[in-house]
Amino acid sequence: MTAGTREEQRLAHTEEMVLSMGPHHPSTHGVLRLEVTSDGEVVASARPDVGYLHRGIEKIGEFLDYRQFMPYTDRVDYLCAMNSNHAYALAVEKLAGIKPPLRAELLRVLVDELNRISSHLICIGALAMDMGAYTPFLHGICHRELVNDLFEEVCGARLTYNYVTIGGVAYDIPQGFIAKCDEFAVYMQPKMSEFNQLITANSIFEQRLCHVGVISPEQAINWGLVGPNLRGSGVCWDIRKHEPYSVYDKLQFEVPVGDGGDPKGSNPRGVLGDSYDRYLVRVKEINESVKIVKQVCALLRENDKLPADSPDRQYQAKVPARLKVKRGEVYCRCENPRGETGYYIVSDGTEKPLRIKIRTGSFSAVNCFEDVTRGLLIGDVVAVIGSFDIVLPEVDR
Amino acid sequence: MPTIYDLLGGNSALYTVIAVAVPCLIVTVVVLTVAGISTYLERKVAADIQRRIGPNQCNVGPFLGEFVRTMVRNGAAPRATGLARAMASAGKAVLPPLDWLDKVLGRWAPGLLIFMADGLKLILKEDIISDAADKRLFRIAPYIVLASAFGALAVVPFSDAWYVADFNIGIFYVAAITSLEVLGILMAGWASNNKWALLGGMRSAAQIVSYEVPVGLAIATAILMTGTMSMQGMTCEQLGITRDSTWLSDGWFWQWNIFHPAMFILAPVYFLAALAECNRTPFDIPEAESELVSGYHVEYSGMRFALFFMAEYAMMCVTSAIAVTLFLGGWSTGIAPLEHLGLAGFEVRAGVQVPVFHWYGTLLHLLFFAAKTYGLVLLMMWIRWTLPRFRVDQMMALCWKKLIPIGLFCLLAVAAWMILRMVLARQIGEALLDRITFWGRAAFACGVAGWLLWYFSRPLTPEEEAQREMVARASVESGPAL
Repeated sequence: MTAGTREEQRLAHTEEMVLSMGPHHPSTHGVLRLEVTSDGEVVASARPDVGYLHRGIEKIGEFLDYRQFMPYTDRVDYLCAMNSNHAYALAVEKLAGIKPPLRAELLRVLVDELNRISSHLICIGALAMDMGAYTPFLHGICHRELVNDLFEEVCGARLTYNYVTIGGVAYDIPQGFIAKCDEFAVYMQPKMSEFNQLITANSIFEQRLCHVGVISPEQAINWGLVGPNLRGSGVCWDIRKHEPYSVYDKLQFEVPVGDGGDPKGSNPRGVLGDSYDRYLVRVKEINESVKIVKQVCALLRENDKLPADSPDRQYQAKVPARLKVKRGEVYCRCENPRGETGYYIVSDGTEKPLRIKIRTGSFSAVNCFEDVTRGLLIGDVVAVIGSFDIVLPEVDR
Repeated sequence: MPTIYDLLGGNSALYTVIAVAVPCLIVTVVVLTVAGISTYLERKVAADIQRRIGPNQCNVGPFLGEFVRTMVRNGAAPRATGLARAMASAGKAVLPPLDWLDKVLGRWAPGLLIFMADGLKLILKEDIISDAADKRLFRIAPYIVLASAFGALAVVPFSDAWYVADFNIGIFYVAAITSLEVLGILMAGWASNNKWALLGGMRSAAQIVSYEVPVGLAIATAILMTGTMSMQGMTCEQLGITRDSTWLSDGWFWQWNIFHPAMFILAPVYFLAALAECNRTPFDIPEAESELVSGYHVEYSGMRFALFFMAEYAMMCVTSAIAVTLFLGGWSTGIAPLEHLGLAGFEVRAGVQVPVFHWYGTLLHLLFFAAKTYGLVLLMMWIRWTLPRFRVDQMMALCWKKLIPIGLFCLLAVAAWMILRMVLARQIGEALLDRITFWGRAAFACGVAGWLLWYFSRPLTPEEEAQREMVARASVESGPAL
């Protein structure tokens, strides 16, 4: 559908209307403002206006030492603070040449994957809510509570964890924690099938998302989309698989990609790279993360059998109290729920970094928004925002 | 014994005013209360579907009991006035039944009074009208919406003897008055001087006007089927009791309109269109919280918003009541012996013989009408908390490409059936034909019931079995939330 040519508009005496969608609109997922130019229901252009949540985190980093910056990475993306912690820690470790012990790596991957599940649950639930179905969102929140309970047990916080440290993790897990994680993995699989019955298979939901906000693989790469948004367009690129960090190379898991339009696939009525594909990739990733959690739990049980003074059994490497990093620069990337998150750190050899630059997945998603939404209906704009899984603090930082 | 009619001086102006005003007042108050309770029920249904508890704090004890207890305390103060003491003694008398009510409602309907608390809150809120709004239209709009919902109540047949009015164009009046709603919504959207509100108003206009076509087709088919436009007449026709019927022969549920094959297809069409007319999910496009913030009533606050809110719930009750009258036999119980038990005799009204019932029959009918109507309202709530919302173009496509063709087909089918009936009646006689259709419909109703029974008790395929087991296990494992 198009907004009509100028001539048609003149003949029908229609005018384009500028709508300010946000920054306090219920479905812009935070404080995104869209300047929507629309002809009735048809969107002529939707220009994103970001910066309402800019806190200068990157600049703050230049005044803090390497350890002190860790709590700020929680606030970069509050839906997956564990993954943000991990990405920053990896970058500093690479720069300072620190090797965390095996147990710390296992614990990091465990909390990463649990956090991926909770983050994706919010995303798919919120997308359903944007489409007018409230129930799936609350079911998602309900399952996410259990992940929060687990995290509370391991580090005392429910949202901004500050758990991963440079050289390891802050605390070892309490007794019985592995059993609880295993229990959660067993709980989650049937719950996802229930969730799919509730909303994924719903034909109205499918109709709302199929053929909406289509991004071809080439476009996705050109726009720099990452993570599930990129994989939704059929590009198989997952840092965990293709540039494995931590212990991901020891784990068995698949990388789900979009298969829209394939009659035997999960999205036969759609087309490759539509919103439904992006949604489905996240649903499938939850199942993959559950698999990883199970495997890591098994590895941790083995690790528990090691003698207490074995180097692999420690949860924190020895890091000097005043961490000085040699002069140099590093870019390190990590697969977060919202895609590739990269930390670029320049060190001048002092205790504080000279520059920290954060590259986040939501930013590139917002970037291509104007092109993707052109010619859609206002209801579709909401679907596209939801399917990109934008988290605004990550865009503005 | 002199009746009220005699006391007020026969057919005087005063009598006329009272005769109209009193039933109107009763119906309005009752439906307002029912609409209020519906909001409570909606919260509870939503909570149940979403694995939460929902409202459970606002009970009789804390809400009303506290007022009374304060009264009693004030009366016991050393320098209490005579009035305070009198109120205290009255309060003491009220307390035991109030406590009992608290116990019962707290057990069976915890948090029931939340709708009163909500109302109180909304009345006390600031009434905001933005400077740029068209103030006159802005003020009028909620009343038009509310009036269109409540206006339709005038002809709703609550029971055989209890209704406000029964005119010969009853259903036509309903269609006319409920379509006024769109006027109020458009006014609200325009007068708010807000782009979101305007978009909501425009969406609503497009939606309600479109969905009036399938509603109109359903109504036309029901009129064709029953041969009358009067709401009472339609119900009596579906009841089917005449002077000749014996206690088992007429008054069965398969004589309801819905158990005619064409009407059976049409009933869901009407129900979907009714959902769209009430702006309920999956057709809550004009309100669309996640798209249009909240559509046409985004600028309304306090009591003016409450009017829209009440209108929505009243409209749900009204459209369900109409669906019950058109398809589900109105107030009839559907069980022939029960009907004949309450039957007092026959009376000729406007040239038509109508059955008259004893008071207990009338009461039973009221109960059945309320139950059927509320069943449909609950179905609407269930749908709202399960389904997502259509997009504007999909909503239009559903109406014009699916519902209207189906509605037209059913109208033609019923028309053809009526002609066939006429021809057959001439061949084999009216009485025999009536018996044949009676048993034909009984077979159809039994077939539907049998199919439903089979469907829900059939052996499951292995995949279905596995899936059901998984879901069952999941719900056992998680248990109730909190």
